Amino acid sequence: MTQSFILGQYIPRESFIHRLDPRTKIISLILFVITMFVIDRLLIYSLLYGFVLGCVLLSTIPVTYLIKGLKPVWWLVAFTFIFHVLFQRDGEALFDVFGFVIYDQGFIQGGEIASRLLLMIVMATLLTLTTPPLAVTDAMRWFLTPLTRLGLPVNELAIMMAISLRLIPTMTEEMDKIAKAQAARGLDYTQGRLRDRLKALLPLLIPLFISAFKRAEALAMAMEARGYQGADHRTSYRQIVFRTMDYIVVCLMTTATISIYLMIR
Amino acid sequence: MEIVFEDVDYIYQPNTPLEHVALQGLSFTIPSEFFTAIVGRTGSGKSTLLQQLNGLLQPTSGTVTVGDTRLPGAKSKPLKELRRRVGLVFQYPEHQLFEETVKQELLFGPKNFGLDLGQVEAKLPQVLQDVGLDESFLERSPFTLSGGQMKRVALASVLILDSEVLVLDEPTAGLDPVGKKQLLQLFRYLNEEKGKTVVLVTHNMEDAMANADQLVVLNDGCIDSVTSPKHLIEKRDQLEAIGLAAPESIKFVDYMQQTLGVNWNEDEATVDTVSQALIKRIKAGANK
Repeated sequence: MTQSFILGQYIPRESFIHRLDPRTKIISLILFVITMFVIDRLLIYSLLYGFVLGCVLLSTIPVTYLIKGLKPVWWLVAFTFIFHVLFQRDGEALFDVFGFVIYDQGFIQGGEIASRLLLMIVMATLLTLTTPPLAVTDAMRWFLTPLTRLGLPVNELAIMMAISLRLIPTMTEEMDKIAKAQAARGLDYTQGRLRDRLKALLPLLIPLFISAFKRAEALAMAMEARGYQGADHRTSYRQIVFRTMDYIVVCLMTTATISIYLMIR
Repeated sequence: MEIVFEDVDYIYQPNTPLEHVALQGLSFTIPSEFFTAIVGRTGSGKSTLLQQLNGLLQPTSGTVTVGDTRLPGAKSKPLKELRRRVGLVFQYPEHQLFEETVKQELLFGPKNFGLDLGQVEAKLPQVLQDVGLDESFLERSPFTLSGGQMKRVALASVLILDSEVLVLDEPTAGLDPVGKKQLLQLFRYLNEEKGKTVVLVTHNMEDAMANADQLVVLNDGCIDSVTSPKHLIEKRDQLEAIGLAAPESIKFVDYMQQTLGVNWNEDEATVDTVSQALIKRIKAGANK
């Protein structure tokens, strides 16, 4: 049931992208998103598509796996595109279908927005697919460290994030188990009227919540039992290191972003 | 209901980097009204196997035939019918409880399967008694119960369906010895007196040997052997090799042979036969 959706999963491999520092990947992702929002030319969009495809190939994650795993996203992208084509009222009228007048701007803007959505999701997925969740947390902690001076409890936030990320697969597994146990008792939440289907979610959600609370309590106790007293002044076992390759990638990405920005101005 | 596995493979997340082959080339039969134990170490595919029995998972290739239902390929209606006829109790079933009272919890399954609720309610006291609880539990909230009691309620919520086949995944894990014995006796009673086909998944060889008519030994997703408990004694060396501990009684037979010089010729080694042999030997005047 939940097996096919890959958002937030990590696949260990030995690739160029996997080896990059998580900070590099996050900075690159941010630069990429900024670029995507300032451009408005089809030529540059095709460039971005090429860039994303290149990243996917470099990561050695099978393209088919990505396509299948993001199935729900395709629907969203397709819906966005069709919505724009049907309801956009700018530009030249091309033809009309069943009373909807289709304008050329509809295609262009629909294409743009659908592309933005698509590229952004693929890139973000690529980040989580190639970076262990804990490395992402370490990177976030590093980015937020300057804010400790303003009184932001960065270390606490980081450990909260680490725990939540850690528990996602556990909870998915738990959900799967509960769903199967209830299905064995005849529960069917895939059929019937919407109201019945929503009601059929209760036998899944209640046990899930209960086990989540129990788990949280047990975890808190286990942490305290091992002498955890807040996250300040803790060292970490895995250090994230910025290597030469990371400097090169960040420089390249920054240069590319600035030059694209100057080009279209 | 007879259950036939024919060359069954099951692969988790096929064609992805996370692909994992859980079952490979399984072929065996669970005869109707048999007590079958499925044994194997952790990760040998036991839980995956038992989910094939009521169509929660369906073979990636090969077929599972349960009564007159063939998997894969059953539509949702026959599948639901199959789930009514094959009652499945998961490991740690207490995690599935959600209703306000034990009574509602017990009626959850029967409601889903559209059984006659009047008839089912009449059976409530009996089912509770079967699992070692009494009627006073009916109006209590399942969340105020102890772990063991919750497990019993969850078990009762499947027993009340009166399925022809009962599939149990480590049903006694975490229970005290007395509770464990009671439940095993109940499963045996359901099998012998009520004619239920029982499939017990366990890694406890004592339980498997003492109760089952047939043992399916799994190793790394493949069938190691399908055997009767009687013949297990011949394979005791192999058991250790695939991560299962030989039952104490069999270990004791080895001990008797090595230390006491007792020759063991019988084809069965249960607590009873072993103690009989010892008594015989003592009566015959052995001084060791």
